[in-house]
Amino acid sequence: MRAVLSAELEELRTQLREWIARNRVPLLAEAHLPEHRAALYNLNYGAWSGPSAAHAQAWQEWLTRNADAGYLCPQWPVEVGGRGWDALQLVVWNEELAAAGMPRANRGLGEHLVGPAVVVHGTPEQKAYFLPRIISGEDVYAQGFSEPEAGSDLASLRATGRVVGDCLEVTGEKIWTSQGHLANRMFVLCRTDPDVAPHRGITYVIMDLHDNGITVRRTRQMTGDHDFTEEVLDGARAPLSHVIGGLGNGWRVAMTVLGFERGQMATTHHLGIQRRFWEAVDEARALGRLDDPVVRRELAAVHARIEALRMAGLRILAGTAFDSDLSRISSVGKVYYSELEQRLAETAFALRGADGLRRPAGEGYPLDPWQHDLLHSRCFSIQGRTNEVQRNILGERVLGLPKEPRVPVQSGSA
Amino acid sequence: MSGAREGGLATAFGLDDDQAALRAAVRAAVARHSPMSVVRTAMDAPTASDPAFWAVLADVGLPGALVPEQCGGAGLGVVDVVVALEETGAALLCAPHLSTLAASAALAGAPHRERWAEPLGAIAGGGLQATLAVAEGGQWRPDRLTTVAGADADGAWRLSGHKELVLDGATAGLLLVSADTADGPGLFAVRGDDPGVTAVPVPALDQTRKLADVTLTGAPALRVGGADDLERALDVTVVLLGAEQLGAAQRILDRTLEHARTRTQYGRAIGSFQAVKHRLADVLIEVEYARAVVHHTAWAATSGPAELPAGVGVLRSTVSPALVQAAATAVQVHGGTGFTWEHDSHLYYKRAVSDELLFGSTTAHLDRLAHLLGLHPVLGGGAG
Repeated sequence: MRAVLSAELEELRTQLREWIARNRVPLLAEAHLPEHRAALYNLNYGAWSGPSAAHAQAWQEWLTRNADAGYLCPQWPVEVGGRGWDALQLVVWNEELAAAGMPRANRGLGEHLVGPAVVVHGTPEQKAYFLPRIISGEDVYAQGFSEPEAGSDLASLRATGRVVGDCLEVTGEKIWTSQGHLANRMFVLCRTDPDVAPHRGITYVIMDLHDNGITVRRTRQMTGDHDFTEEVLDGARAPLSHVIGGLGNGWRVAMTVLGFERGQMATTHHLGIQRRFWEAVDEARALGRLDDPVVRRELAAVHARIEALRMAGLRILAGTAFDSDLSRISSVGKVYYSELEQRLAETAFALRGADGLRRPAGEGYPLDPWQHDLLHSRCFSIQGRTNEVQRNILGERVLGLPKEPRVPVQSGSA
Repeated sequence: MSGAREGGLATAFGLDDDQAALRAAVRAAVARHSPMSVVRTAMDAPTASDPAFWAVLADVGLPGALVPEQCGGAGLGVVDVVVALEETGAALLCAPHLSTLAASAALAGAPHRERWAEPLGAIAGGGLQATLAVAEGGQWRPDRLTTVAGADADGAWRLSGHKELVLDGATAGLLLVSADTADGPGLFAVRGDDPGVTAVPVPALDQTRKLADVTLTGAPALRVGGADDLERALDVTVVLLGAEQLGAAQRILDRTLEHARTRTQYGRAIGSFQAVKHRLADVLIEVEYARAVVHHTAWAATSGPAELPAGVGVLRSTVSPALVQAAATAVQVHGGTGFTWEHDSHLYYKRAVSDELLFGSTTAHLDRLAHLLGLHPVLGGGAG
């Protein structure tokens, strides 16, 4: 693709490459060593979650350098503190970071989900209040969407929001909150009007997580890590000025942002998986498995799908893909990407045969990198709407197939 | 996302006027002259050679699309032609267009293109059909060619050997034949009507593609190029074939969707059942990625030659399975009807499993891709 980028973009690439070379924090580049697998995935949430204090400090240093140079939230509009980068500029940035082995400094869900929601649906006052706090790192966000009884069927969520004076008071439970223990704020979907259609009575509100009637409990997942939290909200309050998009408009706020985010991600997904692919190749070579034509073929087949991902990303960037239909881009990409992650993990895990039975020694439940990926990658086809829901979306919204008849919900049933 | 359409990318991957015009003309010609009823008649014949229809295709500029303008063609690139081939693939067009386009690309890309002005002009004018004759022992890129080219007393090349599964080999007026020489493999041009050429039609699993086995006995030949030219000719052919596979996959998906929306069982349209819906969603996913790969690889064939060989491996392992999946799903979702001769599903399925083998199987291409990526036991090149 580099051959067809404009001269301006090539100039930007050179600038960014030079800046990264001057400012990169070597310890973080080394963090791409496989033993920090879980922490690497979690960098998407803006914080180093691993046990190494040195790495945590290096991540803070990298964030500071990026902040000082204005490279945090660069895709945000200039007037709210970003650089106004478009998708192509962002790709150049991501490619140069990947080439230097550096993770992208980011403000997690605040940057990727809250910022766009506030930019699109917020009032001028809300933009002035919330956005600078995200860029500075003062506010770290957790997502309060899923509930014990509202997973794929998010619109059936039950947390209730009640207007009390000039506040919204929220009571209910939230679950599968990624890195919730690191956050000080949560963007919450709650039901403020039980008498209208499920999608219509939902409100999007930003709440303080601390000292606000919210109990946070960490949950442990199958990898042994504690990446999730669950929250009990018992009359938690937020001023009405923290409602984004107005009462009852929360579904639209949440969905616009999710669709946009996935469209963007579709252009960069291949970078991380490409890196792990070559790690798997190195592993296969070290284990002497590249003698086996079946192994070579499987690796080539995985590589082909990574390349297809890259090529599809280029089409999205060129604006020629999928008629710019976001639900198509995001659902097609989500299923393809998540199942490719799983296939790579399975392929890499299988390279060692029976040695995969043995875990590294140590406290807790340490895993080697491919054991970690094998287990961790199962979440990719669940999170961000299960692949089954994605296939429903594709079947109904893109292919025009009839909806499954709904089972009528009896009023008053649990 | 503003600005994403500006700059070079949109130019490289967008649909420009030439592409759109050729696609529209081919679509109209195919719709008018080659509905499925015509395909079904044509597939019963041992060869595909309807002069009137070929004149129509020449008229819309399909056979001459890749022929340089100075030779009388349209001077388009592979990236321009793939969208037209999606149309011919969608309709299972039973004509010698793919073989002729592949051969014309090989001649147009040959080291001394000026030597081929005459046959290229004849192709563009509709007076000559051509093909690549390369397969031996079931392989399109065999380790060693048994067909040999030797120079006679006058220094002229003569070819002897046996070529298999030559697309439109019994009707082509010009065959581009791979053959070994003392200096390694090369690509040679042989007249189809030469007494030293014997072509025998092969009964084909996919009756809409006409195949022939070709025996060469001292056939006089002209050298077109060397091993690199042969490789490139095969790579470009796989891209052109991939475009037809993509078009066929999209068409059979569309037809299956129509059935799933309208066929009712248990009081519901069958497409409302998740078991059916998810199967079709999976086909959509594979077809979308196949499209990205075909268009990207076509771009590489024209503007990014360094990416082409590996791109071809990516294409084969993406597009071939996508069409097989689309066609197998069509048979399944159409139920008993899909299994009948009268319904078209089997034509797409036969096209799918045949195209997967034609010009090299998925497995053969994966082996080549693994090699190109440097997936060797000993470290050396390719690692990224």
